[in-house]
Amino acid sequence: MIDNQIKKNIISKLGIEKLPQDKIGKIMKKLEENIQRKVVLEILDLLKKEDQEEIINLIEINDDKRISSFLSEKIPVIDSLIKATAEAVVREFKISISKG
Amino acid sequence: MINKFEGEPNLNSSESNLNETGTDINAEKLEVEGSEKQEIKQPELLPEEQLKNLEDGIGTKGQEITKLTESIEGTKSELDEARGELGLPPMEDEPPNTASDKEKLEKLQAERDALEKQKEELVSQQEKGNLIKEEKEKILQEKLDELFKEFEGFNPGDLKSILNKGKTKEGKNVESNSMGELDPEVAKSLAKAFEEGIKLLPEIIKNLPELFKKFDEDLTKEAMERVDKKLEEQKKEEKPEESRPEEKSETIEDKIPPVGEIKKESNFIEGMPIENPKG
Repeated sequence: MIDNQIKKNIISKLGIEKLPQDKIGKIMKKLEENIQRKVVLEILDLLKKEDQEEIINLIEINDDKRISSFLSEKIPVIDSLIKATAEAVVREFKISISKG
Repeated sequence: MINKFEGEPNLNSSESNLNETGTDINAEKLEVEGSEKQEIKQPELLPEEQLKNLEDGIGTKGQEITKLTESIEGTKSELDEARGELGLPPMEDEPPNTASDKEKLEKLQAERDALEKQKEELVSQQEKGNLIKEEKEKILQEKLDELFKEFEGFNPGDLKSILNKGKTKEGKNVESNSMGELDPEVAKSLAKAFEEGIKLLPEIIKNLPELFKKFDEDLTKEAMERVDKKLEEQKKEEKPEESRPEEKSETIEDKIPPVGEIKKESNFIEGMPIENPKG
């Protein structure tokens, strides 16, 4: 879901770049899962019922190309939505680890 | 799945200002073409269609509730696991975004409850409608039985006149104790049914389909009174059972802890790298 550049940004924002790669990988995996699920929820909230069914089908068959074009067509603000969701998750995690 | 982050600006850059004020992304209403809310209650629809719409709505809300509940449960465990990688213990508080999800969940549950209530009311209305219809038939049959008894007491001349003209020998409309003044056509048809020994309503209705319409207003009024009385009596009989304290069953809502206070982010945290993460 998140490309390498964005991963780097998140790692840098969290200040965990000096950690061992396997630890960074595990942290990123959990954050990615979290971001992805929240994005899906936001998307479903914005779509009509028939479009919800369509996107669920596309997710199930893992058709990335069609998912991308479908979402761009149905939700013009999809880029901002994903970005905002990712930022919210990262910020939340950052707050959590700052509290110890 | 979704490679939408490609080419996105650095999250630390000044362009990346979405949610920097701590605004909940759920509160940002994004305009989407054609995403108008589904109307559930449409008075012009048939009761069956209304019921189906309500059931669909309840089903959709249920699915949303399930997804959101899973998300709430998943969020904390994922963040806790990520914290674990940094050598940190699980969070004591709920993650702030989870709190907003919980508010959303409560709203969805309230919406689903409202739809359930509408469905209950609709079903109860339908049931009452059926009871009234049955009661109307019963009342009309009672009235016909009484009328036929009256016919039995008529002298043959009067009965013959009613059979021929729908009126008495004196040319007056038939005055019945049970059904009041009878329209000549109705009197004629009913006298014919009496003469032929047809006494049951369904058979009479076949030859006189407008019979219900003629007496509809009075029948409906009387049937409604009887049904209301019956329902009232049923309620009284059921009350002692209802007043027993119910055993509380554990629902999915019960499993969710109460919504915690949404903690605002401290400004000093934003943009600051985490020093010496434990690991």
